[in-house]
Formats: sequence, structure tokens, C-alpha cells
Amino acid sequence: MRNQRMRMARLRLDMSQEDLALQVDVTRQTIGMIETGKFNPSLRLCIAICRALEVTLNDIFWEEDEDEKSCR
Amino acid sequence: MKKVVDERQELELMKVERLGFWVLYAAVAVDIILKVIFVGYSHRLLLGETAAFTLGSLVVLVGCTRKGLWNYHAVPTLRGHLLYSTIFSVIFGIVFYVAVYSKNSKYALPAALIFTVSMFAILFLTLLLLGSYTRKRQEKLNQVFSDEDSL
Repeated sequence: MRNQRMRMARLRLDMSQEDLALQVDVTRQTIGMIETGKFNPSLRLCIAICRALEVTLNDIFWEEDEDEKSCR
Repeated sequence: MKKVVDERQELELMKVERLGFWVLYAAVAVDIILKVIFVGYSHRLLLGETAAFTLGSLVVLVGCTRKGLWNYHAVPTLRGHLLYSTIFSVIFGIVFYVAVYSKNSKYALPAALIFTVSMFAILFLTLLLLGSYTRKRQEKLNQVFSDEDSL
């Protein structure tokens, strides 16, 4: 599943995929694959990404199912 | 077929399979070298082992380079190519010398020297080409998932 929230959080900080990749010590390809949903990062990498983007895990990695959406 | 292992178990299985592959790979390589040097087997008798070794090598080589991967600890550099070419050509040169010397050839040393230099050239050129291809693949794969156009 595409991670648009991660991409928006990165763009909000005017950060390129390369910048984020350097900050969390992975390749640009890895960042791209996470954002397009082609790779599931480890929890450690998720936390590193959240720190770099100044957000929480919930902000960019939580997936709401239909029941949760309808309750809101 | 439905999997009965969870994601952690799957990673553990992959580690075991990886170790099994490398043990088998090394064993086949040592088997070929020992049989050629000490038993004097001809290449025809070692066709099976050679085919298995070549196939395993090709799978790893093609798989890694297509994904833009070199190895766990390094990226392709000229210095690395020179270093590995030197190390492995010397190792194979020594193995070649032992093999030729054991057949009581007086030309063992000059033959081994020529072999070592040739092996260095072949290894260096191969590493150079593979390294260049790997870098190009890495750059291409970076672009596939890029959104730089939208910035």
C-alpha cells in the first residue's frame, strides 16, 4: 500500500528522497520503495524515518481499517 | 500453498537457506580444486560439479548486479577491484603452481607467473565491467521509485 502520508511529511519539510535516505542511512531506492508500498521497513527504520520527518509512527505508518474510519 | 511460518520464522528460514547455499558452494569449489590438483581428474569427469558451481555463481552474480547490489560491506571502486584482483590472482596462481609442480614440470614457476598475471587481468576487467553495470543499475533503480519530478 502506498504511503502518501510519509511522502507528504517529507515534502512538507522540503526534503528530497535523497536527503531523507542520507538522514536515516538507507539508499534512495529504499525510501522510494517504502513510499510506493513496495517494501515494508523494520520498526527500527520506521522510527528513524519518523524522527527525521519530525512525526510520530501513527502519523505516517498507521493504517486505519473501514470500522475505525466510520467511528471517527 | 499457504505458509505456516510467520514473518520472523520466514527470515530465520532464509538465513538458514543462505548458510546452506554458501556451505554447498564452497564445498563444490574445494572439491573441484582438490580433484584437479591431487587426484588429476580431467575436466570431463568434473562436468557435473563445474556445471553446478557455474550455475550457482551465475544466479548470485546476475541477481545481485540486476538489483544494483555489490556486497554487504563495499560498493564497486577501482581500489577494491585492484585489491580483490591481486588477492585472488595470487591465490589461484599458487594453486596453479602447486598443480603444475606436482606433475614435475620444470616450467612450473614461469607458467604460474604467466597464469597469475593473466588471471589478474581477467579478474580486474570482469570486476570493472560488473562494477560499472551494478552502479548503472543502482542509479536506474533509484529513478524507478523517485518522485523528484514532483518537487
